[in-house]
Amino acid sequence: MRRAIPVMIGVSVALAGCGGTRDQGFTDVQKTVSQRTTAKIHWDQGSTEDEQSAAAVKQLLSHELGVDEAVQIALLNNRSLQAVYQDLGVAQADLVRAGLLRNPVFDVSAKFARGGGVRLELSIVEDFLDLFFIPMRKRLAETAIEGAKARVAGAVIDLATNVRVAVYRLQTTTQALELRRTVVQAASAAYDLTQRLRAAGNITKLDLLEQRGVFEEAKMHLGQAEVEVDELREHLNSLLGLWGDETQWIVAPRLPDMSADEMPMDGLERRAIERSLDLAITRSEIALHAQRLGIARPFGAIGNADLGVAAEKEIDGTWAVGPAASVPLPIFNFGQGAVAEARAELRRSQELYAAQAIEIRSRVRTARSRLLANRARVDYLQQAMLPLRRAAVEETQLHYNGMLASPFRLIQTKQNEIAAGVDYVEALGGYWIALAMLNQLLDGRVPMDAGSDSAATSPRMMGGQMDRGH
Amino acid sequence: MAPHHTCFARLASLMLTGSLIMGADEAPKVPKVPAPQPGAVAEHGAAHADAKATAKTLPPGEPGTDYTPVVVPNGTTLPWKVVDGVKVFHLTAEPVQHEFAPGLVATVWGYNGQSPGPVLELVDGDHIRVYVTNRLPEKTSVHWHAILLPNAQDGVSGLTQLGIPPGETVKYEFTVHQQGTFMYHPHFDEMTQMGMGMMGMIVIHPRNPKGPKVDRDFSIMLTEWAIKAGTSRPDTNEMMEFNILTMNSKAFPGTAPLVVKLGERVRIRFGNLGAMDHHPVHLHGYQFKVVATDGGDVEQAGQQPETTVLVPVGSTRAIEFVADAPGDWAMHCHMTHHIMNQMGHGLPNMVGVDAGDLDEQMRKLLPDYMTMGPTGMGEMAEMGMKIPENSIPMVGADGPHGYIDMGGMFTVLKVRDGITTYEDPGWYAQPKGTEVVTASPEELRRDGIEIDPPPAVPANGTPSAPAATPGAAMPHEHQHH
Ligand SMILES: [Cu+2]
Repeated sequence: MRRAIPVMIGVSVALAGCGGTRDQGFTDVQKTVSQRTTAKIHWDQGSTEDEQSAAAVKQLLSHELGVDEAVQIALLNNRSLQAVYQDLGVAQADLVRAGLLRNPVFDVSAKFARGGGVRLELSIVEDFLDLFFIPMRKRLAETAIEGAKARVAGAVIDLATNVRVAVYRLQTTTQALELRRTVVQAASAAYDLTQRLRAAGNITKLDLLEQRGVFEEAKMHLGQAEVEVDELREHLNSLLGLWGDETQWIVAPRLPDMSADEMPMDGLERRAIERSLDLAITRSEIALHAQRLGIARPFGAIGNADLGVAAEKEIDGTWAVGPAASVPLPIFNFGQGAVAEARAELRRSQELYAAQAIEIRSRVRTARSRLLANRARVDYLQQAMLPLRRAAVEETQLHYNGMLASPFRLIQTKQNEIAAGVDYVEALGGYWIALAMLNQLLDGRVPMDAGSDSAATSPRMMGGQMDRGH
Repeated sequence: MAPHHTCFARLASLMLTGSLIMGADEAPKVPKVPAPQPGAVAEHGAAHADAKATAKTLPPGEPGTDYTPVVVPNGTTLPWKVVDGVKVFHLTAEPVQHEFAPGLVATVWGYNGQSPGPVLELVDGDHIRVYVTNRLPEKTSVHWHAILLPNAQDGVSGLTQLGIPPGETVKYEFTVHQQGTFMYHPHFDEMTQMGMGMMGMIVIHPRNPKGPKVDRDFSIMLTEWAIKAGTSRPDTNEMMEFNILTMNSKAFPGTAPLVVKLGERVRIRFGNLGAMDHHPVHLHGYQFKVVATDGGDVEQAGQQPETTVLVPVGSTRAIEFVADAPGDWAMHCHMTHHIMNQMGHGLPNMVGVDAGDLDEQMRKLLPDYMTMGPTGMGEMAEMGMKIPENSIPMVGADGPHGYIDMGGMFTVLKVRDGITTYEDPGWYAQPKGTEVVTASPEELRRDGIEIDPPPAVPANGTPSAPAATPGAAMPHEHQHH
């Protein structure tokens, strides 16, 4: 057995040389991501490409940010995502470890005779069953890598979705803020008119005070909306990994119009199931459990069996050398426990897989109807409400011209129109967010919506909790 | 806003009018029946009216021979035929599309396709039969206001007759034994039906006229309507805010002028069946005498000279004068709110307001905004700004010397020399040298008129001077925020 050791070491070194395949893992993730978004991902590993990535971020930041630009920046620049990429490294290291033999055990014992002289016993044993386990362990580690790749790709999709939602929220609030500014402008004009009426001696001081109250209140609401914009910007800074001067970016101030038809609305469930990264993760778990069960069946009772060389130096100084072996006898434990455990784990992951698939289908239907409802609301506001409010302003203007309506009523009607505009902007933002959520499902990830009841039973919480290290 | 005060004032004036009418009216006394009983009423009421009804009936009076027909500006006289010595008329109560003035058409109720209904023109002693067909969605009746007749013919639904159901025709028949100016109107759901325009004049000529012959005899019904600008149906629930004031259901510039030849004797008969307002009608250029009410002729000795005649609700007045002054003479109700069309109320008082850069601010939000009325409203109407459809707020008309910024109860008496027809002769050409023109410096100097330099702040009409102007007292209110 003396020669056997270096052989084993040599094999494992060769395997360790394959440690470079952690790039292969990332390439696979890149491929998965590219099937889902046009944005590129890059893993900062101290290469020259890192600089290109940083330059790309800088370049993107110098222009007005839309959703696509923001997503690209986040995918290149979010440090949490870079941290998640390290999961690939960890999984790869597990694979390397799986290819190594257990270190042999060296045993030495000395016995001192009464008449002087030492009896020396030496043995070196190796768990010879480990030799059979290595390929199996490697298969397990490879399966685990598949799971890790799906998790990393999932993290990319999650981040992209979070960025999209954050940008739409910011755009919604920014656009609504602009409209709210015109409300203040209107209140200001009304207050200005009251001041002039008061100066002419035509109204009471009380009338003036009341109108000023309306104006000051409008200003106060505007202040609240401004704080909201700041908070949403900070959220995006965090998602995009920006700090210092980088935080001076500007966002495209208007939400895009609704796309004429965003996607075919049939076959969505099947698409979400086929592309589900969550299901891919669970599949890798099922495979792991199946493989563990496969190992438990033949070897469950044995555990370990050592084989080695023992040498003995007699007191007289003569050496005796011979083989050594220790093998557990399957008398009490036939391995039933290990097999049952592995089988239960397998069954559990299979059940979770089914539950996850059902949940995904339900979530897709919900997201679809949410999207359609938002689209209908935007359409309604655009086609019915806004023209209605606009017509009311025009008609009130006519009444004002005929001295049938007061300037204050005219201003109020205008404010109603602006309020409908705010409703429209908020509905449009809601539409884009609903679309982003549906796309997240179709890209293979179940959205983590905080506060919703289903979050507690979401596939990720059930199936993913134990497997997701990050 | 103090609706209670206004309401109280209206009530008070109504009560006052009530007593006036009671005092002046010599019409049949209301029978003092504690609880009217069908059948019994006729006997009680017969004391006065039925006695007269038994007086002599004369052959039907003919226009030209027995009387000079009345002129009805914007209206007509009801045609009739004679059947066995009886003048037979037919009135149909029905909805009507009516134009008050160019720009305002509404669905009103009237008679024979018009509001007011055609004038019922009779001669003292005529025996008449009037068929009334109801084409309204509810019952109606016709009351012959101030006519002395048998009680059963009085047209008070529920009291003297059954209401005429929709689709039915009833017959009124009586002999007239008086002369003067009277009216007819429904006495069923009066508030709605009269608010919708159901009313008409009755003119009864004397069989043997006394006094100087009248050449031009006009008949004008005054009333008031609540038609919210932009709507097309009177709101008969309205009690206060009547915004269309009419002569023969026309508001100026929809009113036809009264055309008269120079030197002619003119009679103008006014009736008022408006809901809530009496109208002091003023005639420019003349003194006239009030010669009759619906109670009969005023004795000559009691004919007070006037330039304004108050026509109370539920009354008629006839005035007479000789048209000896040529010209275009305004004739209008003297209540200033009654010579405006569809005025808005509850608007801030803009008179004297310095608009400053307000319009500029407002146009950022409302591109068509313009401050209205900071120097008064006289010129608002002629700006031709876009207004709600089917409305005539502030609408007046172009006149020979600029815009006539009036509406409502306003018309023009046109007295001309040398005209051969009564077609509208157009605007009066004032003799040279009689026009009003800007005073020349020579004239001012000649008459010692010294003009002070204009005040410092004429723009908003607020005098520049005294220390206690509201603006000066509250400088902090001008700060912008
Ligand atoms: Cu009047």
